[in-house]
Amino acid sequence: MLVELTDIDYEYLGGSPGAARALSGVSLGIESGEFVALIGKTGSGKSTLTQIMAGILEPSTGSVRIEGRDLWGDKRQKLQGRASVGLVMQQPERQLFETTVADDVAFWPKNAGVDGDAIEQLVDRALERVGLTPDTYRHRSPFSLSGGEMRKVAIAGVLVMEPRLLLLDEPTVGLDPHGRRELLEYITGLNRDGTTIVMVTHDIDMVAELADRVLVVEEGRLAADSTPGALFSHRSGQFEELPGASMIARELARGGFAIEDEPITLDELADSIIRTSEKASV
Amino acid sequence: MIGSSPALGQYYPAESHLHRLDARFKLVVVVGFIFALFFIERPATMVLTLLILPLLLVLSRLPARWLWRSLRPLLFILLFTFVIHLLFTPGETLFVFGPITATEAGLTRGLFFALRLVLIITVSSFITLTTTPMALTNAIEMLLKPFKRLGLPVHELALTMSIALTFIPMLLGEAREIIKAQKARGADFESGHILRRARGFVPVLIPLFVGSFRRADELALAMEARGYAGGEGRTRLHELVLVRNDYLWLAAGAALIALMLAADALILW
Ligand SMILES: Nc1ncnc2c1ncn2[C@@H]1O[C@H](COP(=O)(O)OP(=O)(O)OP(=O)(O)O)[C@@H](O)[C@H]1O
Ligand SMILES: [Mg+2]
Repeated sequence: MLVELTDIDYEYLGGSPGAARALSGVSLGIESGEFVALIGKTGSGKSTLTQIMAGILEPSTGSVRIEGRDLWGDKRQKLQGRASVGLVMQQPERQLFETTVADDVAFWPKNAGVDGDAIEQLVDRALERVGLTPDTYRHRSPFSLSGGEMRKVAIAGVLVMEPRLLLLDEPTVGLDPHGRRELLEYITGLNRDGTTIVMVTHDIDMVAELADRVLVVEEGRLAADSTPGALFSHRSGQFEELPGASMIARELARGGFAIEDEPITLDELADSIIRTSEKASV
Repeated sequence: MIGSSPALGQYYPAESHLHRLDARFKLVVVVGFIFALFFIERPATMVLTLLILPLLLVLSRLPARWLWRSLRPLLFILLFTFVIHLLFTPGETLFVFGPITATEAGLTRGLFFALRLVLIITVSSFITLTTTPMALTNAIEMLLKPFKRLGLPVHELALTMSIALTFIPMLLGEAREIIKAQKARGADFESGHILRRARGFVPVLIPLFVGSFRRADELALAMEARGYAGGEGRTRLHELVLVRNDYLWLAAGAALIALMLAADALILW
């Protein structure tokens, strides 16, 4: 098991009048290689949960294990655990601070004590990974970039250590459709190469398209742990929001064109329609 | 840790005498108190004056823990004040530490100045702890009204202040998020000596500044877009009203300050 959370509670401003319970009794495990989507309403606790997994927030109760090591057990383990987890926070552009793109991306490896030559290689590889030509961008100031480029540099600053677990908190918000597609391509590419992905999103279509597994958070609790296919089944009515393809399938069924299976992505929908109509015409 | 503290002097909602007291009086008394503090000469008076802290805690129904946590970030400045005086005041040697000498006079001076700072900070933070930012700016605007005739842009000053006050929690929230992002990239804010730690905050401060300038721009635009055009003729949602009780409290505050000054004059050590 790559990540294992046991009975996690988390309270912001614990013990004060503003205390807010953000997570209650969350237990879950994530296996190496999975692509997990984390969904839920605004304020349900998704960001908090990713930060707990990243070892950035210490749970009020419960334990966090990364590759079997108890993160909050003792300090050395915590540092080791963190090295294999990358966290791209909501609006990651906020983390940029260095004078050049290369320096900013090099921040983590420098902190981790990687030495000079190796750092340069890591930085170039990370920039390429997010689609920025190292030669063009290396020496630019991160603050002179467009919003989308800043986002890419920020993400490169996390990819640079090649973490085994990559946590992304609404990474595509604010990107144009092209930038969005590009970013999702890098992410699926990483996943194909073995990186475990946990992605927070409000985009149900994206979940249907990409994830192997969906976790639904509701008011700080894990309300569902399922596959996109099962969760978005319009027949079971388990989940109120549906991907576009499922809604079309549902409307088709209502209009008398019953599709036999339950497509959740556009590709699947097209296939199902073709198959259903072929059968009908036979 | 920053992640779990209330902001410095952040309003603590409660029902108490201090909460009900008119914000103008709180301001006048506290300004008077701070002014008087500078006339205090004896460390012993400073120590005695500390007794008003439990009094204020009771009157405001503020848990001591909240006060402590909201002030903890300033601990470093206090320590710094103390150590500077301890080491750089000439006098009889107390102890020697490498090339540095601490003196007895330095110890008393250090305590004296650190305590004065503690009193200034804690007592003035009781204003913001027990007054909503809105009531506070109203009060400041009304207190400064006489200066309007002298051309002081009173309304704008008050507005600037209220915006600054609401920006502080926002900035702290933003700082929290940035700290988390940098921690996730292996930044270490907790170990090493003071200098290293101070330098470690550069990756937090720069994005914070960049962000706050952008925020300020956006806010200015948003205010204009909603028709803001300066103070003349603007009305207010809540007007301040004085009640007799307020005057009693004002008198009590003045008496306390007098007592403190008298003690300083009378105590001989
Ligand atoms: N710094 C904080 N101090 C106090 N409460 C907080 C803080 N951060 C989050 N919360 C509260 O914790 C709960 C969970 O917040 P969280 O940011 O994890 O939600 P989220 O699911 O990521 O929401 P969104 O979709 O809007 O990003 C919310 O009720 C929020 O108000
Ligand atoms: Mg969030």
